[in-house]
Amino acid sequence: MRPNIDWSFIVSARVLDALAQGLKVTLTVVLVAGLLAILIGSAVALLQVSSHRAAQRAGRIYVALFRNIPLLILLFFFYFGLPTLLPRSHYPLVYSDHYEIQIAIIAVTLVSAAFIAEVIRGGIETIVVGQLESALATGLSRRQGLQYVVLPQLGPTVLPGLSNEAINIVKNSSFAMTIGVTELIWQAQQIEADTFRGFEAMTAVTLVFLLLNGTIFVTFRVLEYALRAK
Amino acid sequence: MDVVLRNLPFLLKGTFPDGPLGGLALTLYLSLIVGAASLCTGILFALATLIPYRPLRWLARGGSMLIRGVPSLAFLFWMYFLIPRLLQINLSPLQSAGLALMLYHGAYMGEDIRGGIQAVAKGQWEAARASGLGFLSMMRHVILPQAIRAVIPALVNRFVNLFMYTSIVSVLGILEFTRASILVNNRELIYSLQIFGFVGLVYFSFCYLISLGGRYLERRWSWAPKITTLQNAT
Repeated sequence: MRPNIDWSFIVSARVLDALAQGLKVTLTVVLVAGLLAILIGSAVALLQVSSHRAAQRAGRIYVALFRNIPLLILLFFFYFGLPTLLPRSHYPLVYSDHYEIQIAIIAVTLVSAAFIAEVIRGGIETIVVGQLESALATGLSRRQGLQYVVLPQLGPTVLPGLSNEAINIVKNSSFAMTIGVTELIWQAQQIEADTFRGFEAMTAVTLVFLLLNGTIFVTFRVLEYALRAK
Repeated sequence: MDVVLRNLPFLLKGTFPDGPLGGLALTLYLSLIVGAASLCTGILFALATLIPYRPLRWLARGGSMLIRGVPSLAFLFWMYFLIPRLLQINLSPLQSAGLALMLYHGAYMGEDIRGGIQAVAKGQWEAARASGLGFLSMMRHVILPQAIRAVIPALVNRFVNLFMYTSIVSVLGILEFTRASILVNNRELIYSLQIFGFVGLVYFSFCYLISLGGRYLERRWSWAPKITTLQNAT
């Protein structure tokens, strides 16, 4: 077996076309899931630091649940499992209209929200707990203390963690290939199946992923410095 | 529940007595081996990114960033397809998956441990230097014991991740727990909800156990007051 790798294949129309299509799907999943995950994640973090026992517990259960089940299993559960709850006649209805992309978005969102919640909780809990103590001592209520003292200071402490999670969302979106979402790695596999040029296709896809993650990394760094400088 | 019970032996140990070990047993075996190996890799990564010799340091930092910037699936395919062909060696799917997981999680653990190393108080470094220790013995006897202890919560989280993400090796056709459950699902056709529900529950219980250990260590080594115990002044 001889490594006969044709690097010029990377810029061939076949690969570029697949990259464009895959990138579109990957970006759709990443953007929608990212937006939803930050919303749900912040809500769960706030639940966890609330002074109500029940709310704390609800937040903890959410995090425990979605941090401890593999994304792959969640995808299979939602994709193969949930439709079996419906009557048989609804199947064509469910599986039409890109059910797999919706499921991918939901699963990635739920998992990422749990991790984001932990990042934000960590920021609130460890970094500025003394600040909340002082706020309470000066007579602010818990709510006011969180709203006016703790939250405005959160930016620089949680941004590195959030940048990690953003990169994780991009990487997790690739798991969606296992339920047939036509994202970047799925496209690479498809090229491998068609032309046996798997290395070249996978190299191209890897470069795109590095570019995406590099962009996110730099953006968050710039944001961090901007917030620090203020 | 009947369908799970019927397939339980296959889910737990694959085709074991008649074939190679599989199912949950393989998942546990893989995570134990890969866990130990990636901890060692992580320490090596952390040391290499701090070593006072520039080319090696940049190589380690670049390599670590490269590994961490790529989806684990892509990295897995890389190790599976490219490395055997470039190096002209034969690797079984399980071997290349193990190597990939080890390097991938090792890079992440390296980052965690590097954070811990850099958080060790400056006086410790100066004292170690002043007593004439070289880089490696300073790391081994003074810095690393403190650093690892400080990042144990982060490492525990990483181990949870590692355990869950052994499920991705199923895409290489390795018959571990997830793959076994996919096969059972294909065979039974209409019990997806029960099968994947059960599999999720099993993963959850193991990961939750590891997390509980993590929370215990976190409590034991933290001294800061918890935010939830602060109340409104009345």
